Amino acid sequence: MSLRILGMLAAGTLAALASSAAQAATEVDFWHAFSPDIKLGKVLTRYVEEFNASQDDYKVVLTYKGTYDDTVNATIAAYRAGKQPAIVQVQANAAPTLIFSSAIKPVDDVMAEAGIEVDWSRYLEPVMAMYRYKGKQMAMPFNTSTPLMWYNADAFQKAGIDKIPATWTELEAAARRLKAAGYPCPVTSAWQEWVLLKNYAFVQDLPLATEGNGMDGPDARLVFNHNGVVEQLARIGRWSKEGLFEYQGRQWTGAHQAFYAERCAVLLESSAGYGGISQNAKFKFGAAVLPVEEGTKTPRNTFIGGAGLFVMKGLDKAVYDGAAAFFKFLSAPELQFDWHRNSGYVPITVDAYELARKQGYYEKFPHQELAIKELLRQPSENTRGIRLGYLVQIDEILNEEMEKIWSQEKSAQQAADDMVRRADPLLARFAKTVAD
Amino acid sequence: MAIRGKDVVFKGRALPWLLLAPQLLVLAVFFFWPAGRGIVEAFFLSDPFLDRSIYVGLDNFRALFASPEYWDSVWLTLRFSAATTLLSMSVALALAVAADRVLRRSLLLRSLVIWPYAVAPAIAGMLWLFLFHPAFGVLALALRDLGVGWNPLLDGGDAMLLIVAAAAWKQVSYNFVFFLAGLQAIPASLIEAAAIDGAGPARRLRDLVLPLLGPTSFFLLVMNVIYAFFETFGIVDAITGGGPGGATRLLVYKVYKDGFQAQDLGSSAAQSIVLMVIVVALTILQFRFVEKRVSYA
Amino acid sequence: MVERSPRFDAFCWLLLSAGLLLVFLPLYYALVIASQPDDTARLTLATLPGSALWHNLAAAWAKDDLQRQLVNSTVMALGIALGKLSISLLSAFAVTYFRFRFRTAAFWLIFITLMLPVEVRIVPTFEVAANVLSPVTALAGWLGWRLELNVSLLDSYAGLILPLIASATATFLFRQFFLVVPDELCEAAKVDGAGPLRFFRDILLPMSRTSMAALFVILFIYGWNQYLWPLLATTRAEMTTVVIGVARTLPTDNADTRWNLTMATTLLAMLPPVLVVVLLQRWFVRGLVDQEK
Repeated sequence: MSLRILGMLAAGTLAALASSAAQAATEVDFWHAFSPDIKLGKVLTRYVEEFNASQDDYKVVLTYKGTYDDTVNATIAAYRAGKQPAIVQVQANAAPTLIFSSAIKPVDDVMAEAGIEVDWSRYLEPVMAMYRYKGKQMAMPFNTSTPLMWYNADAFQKAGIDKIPATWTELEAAARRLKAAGYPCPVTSAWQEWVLLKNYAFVQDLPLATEGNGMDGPDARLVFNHNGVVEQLARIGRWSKEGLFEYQGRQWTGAHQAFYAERCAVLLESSAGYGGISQNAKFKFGAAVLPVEEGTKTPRNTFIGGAGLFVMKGLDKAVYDGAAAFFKFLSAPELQFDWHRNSGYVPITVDAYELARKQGYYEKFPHQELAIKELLRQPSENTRGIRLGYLVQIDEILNEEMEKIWSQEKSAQQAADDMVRRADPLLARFAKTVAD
Repeated sequence: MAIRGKDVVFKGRALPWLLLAPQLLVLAVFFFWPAGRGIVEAFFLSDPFLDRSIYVGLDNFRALFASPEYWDSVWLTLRFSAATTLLSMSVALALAVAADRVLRRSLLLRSLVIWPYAVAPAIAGMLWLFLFHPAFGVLALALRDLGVGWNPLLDGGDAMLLIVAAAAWKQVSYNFVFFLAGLQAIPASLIEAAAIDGAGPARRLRDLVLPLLGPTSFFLLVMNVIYAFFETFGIVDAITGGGPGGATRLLVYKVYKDGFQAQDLGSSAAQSIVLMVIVVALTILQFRFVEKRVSYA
Repeated sequence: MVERSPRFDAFCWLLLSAGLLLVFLPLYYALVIASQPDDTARLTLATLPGSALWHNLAAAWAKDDLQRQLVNSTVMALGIALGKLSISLLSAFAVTYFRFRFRTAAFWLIFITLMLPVEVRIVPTFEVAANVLSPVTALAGWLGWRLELNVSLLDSYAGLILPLIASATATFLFRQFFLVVPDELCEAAKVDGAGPLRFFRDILLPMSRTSMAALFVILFIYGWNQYLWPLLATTRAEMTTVVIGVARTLPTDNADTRWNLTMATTLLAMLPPVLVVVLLQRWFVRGLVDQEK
């Protein structure tokens, strides 16, 4: 080994040692999943810099830990080794693991102990409900989105569709016209289990699992193989067979690319897809709320995606006070409005929504309001949220079985039964790991 | 089982252990201790933070073996490993034989072929996905224009083909270089003698060259099987994510998914053990039946 | 020379050309994408190189941490390669040139580490890295002693390197090599009165030069391409590696897609290991296969 390398090794070790030495302001570690190279990461970095400059007591230290999964893994490993960060950004499907664990400190407690009063009623209810357990607010909502129906307005015009489809039946009719007008993929969807299955159940007020979709406790079982969800799956399966629906992969990349390339004319996708669509679509596009079933009187609120901020247990009070101060800073209406504008995510407080409306923001960007309107619909027992253990595996099962419907390998009923058969043992296993 | 050593050896009791010490120390701290803890986890049901662990005996294993989907994974991993090893080794051998004939000493050729070996599996996966993704892959779209029904997003066979191709692509280069070197190490006089005896290229290959490539092939076989079982994780993750419908859910990918994404530590640990047992068994088999037929110089 | 057969030669050339084409296709395509200007709508459908290769490479190069990440990756890959070489040479020597009790057990103990890659045991490994003495304290705990020892390797080069040298690829390869070293050499050394260490230093090591070079290449590549472990073991931006840097440019949830920049970064990240392989390939191969004695 050459001297230079030894030198670098030593320098690296020293630097690592030096940077952990005590500093004047209390450091609050915040691990997140927004790459600093992309816009979301840059905006978040700006907020943290503003917060750090706004006071002298706390310094939020932002660390990008890779994807959402990477971030959770790093947090779990760190917690087990006693090196956990104060704040961690956790995606909705990993949230149950944290909410049911005893490794987090509920945000309610963090705020109360720091002496900061929060009026949760000024926050968007479906967003808060997702992170509420046994009456306590467990996490701070952060980046929140919900699906919309994006469409290629030029294609609609070409196919002679003058009314934007509002029901699934209308969407099917529109898809036939688009097909006739030469679009090989009239309809596609990103994040299929989220959009086509879970959100369908929410809007139509159908239960997905017992225990209020798991919101009331870990011992839940799936139930949707006996309700309208099966017909929805059968419909999309039929569309797939007839070439009205074309599957572009589980995540968003394929669906977006096919939409940009004008192969697909309708894209069912998150409201946060706006950034990519506005940048890449070389045609006139529009957005509408998700279709509902013909004759639905009161469509319910949609299901959220995105992530919340959890606070880990086992740190000093000063660190928690810093986290509380930062949360307060993040909730300010001006900042939430800025976030809404820059990220495409919905604001988490009603005040920010009203501020945006007052400033005439939605006249210029009407689609940004659609998501909020979907979320502000009257909720029901079935639409408070989804909180299932091993949700990542269950989502994987849903995806696999849905793919088998689209490829006509299984009937919708068969696939739905298999989803339940495969997921229930996981739920039972998970329930055992949760303390009462 | 006895392991080959030298026929001529040194005497010494403490010395070999001293020589082994650094290796064993690193292994003890960074391998056996963590692996041991991982194995213990297979008999527990825990929340990921380890705040609560319940001893469940063999339940994690029972749950695995009771799942038809898990057996699908075992089966398709074996198929994948066999296909990848076979494909990458045979293509590499064919290329090496061709190169050995027409370009015996070309460093340039080797340089041109070897580089994919240096590419990270995840990056290799990304490159292949860009070519063959049905929505934006340039070759996939070309295939579609030609009327070929190519859809790895819904057709499990297509998806399997794609990951086998990507995994083999990365490994062909490695195998090629070894085969070529093995071929070049065969003394020209031997080949010439066989040629003078009237053996044509095909017969020389079968009767002379392939047996002489024995040690190389054995080494490559072990390395390729291990590669196919473990290091292909990045490729699956980047290309198919285990889909469609679980058609490419390789065992190592499932270990990662269940353990690292779903935080089902017990099941993931149990799967690691099963995986380890399979590979150990395969390797012992290889040592037993293949190494015996291979002659070292 | 053997018989001439123009037809067979032509077939060989054809085979080679087809092989080369396959090998280069993905690289060509990476270059095509990396050279496209920022207009992304149909970027992935391009088939001919664009004009912006240098521009994109320069943009990727100039990004905040890339250069620092390249240094980190280099230190980590070198550390893994050199560290593993040293401990493996010694242990391979021990298992091939000595007969001692539990030799077979020791060999399998080492060999079994090939079967459980770091990905599978990563969380417990992290706990050890966070406190290397945790096995000691745990063992002491079982014996009833309470010890408070804490040495963390996180965010250090040692933490990046040590867990990754805990496997036996190199030992396996050196054993294969030592097996083909002629016994006469050892005999001669013994006749001359040389002890095992002298034989190791004066005869075996020089003979293994090419094998070492070969393994160096393999291990350097292995170290360079690590993803999961560096991601866990580092929290400070100044300690991350370039493979993580590439992953960072991949679009996540609905982010803006700049595949051209991603590909440009990928090319830069691929360059050092590819150079190592291409430049050292002469030894890479000779060391592992050639039976030069």
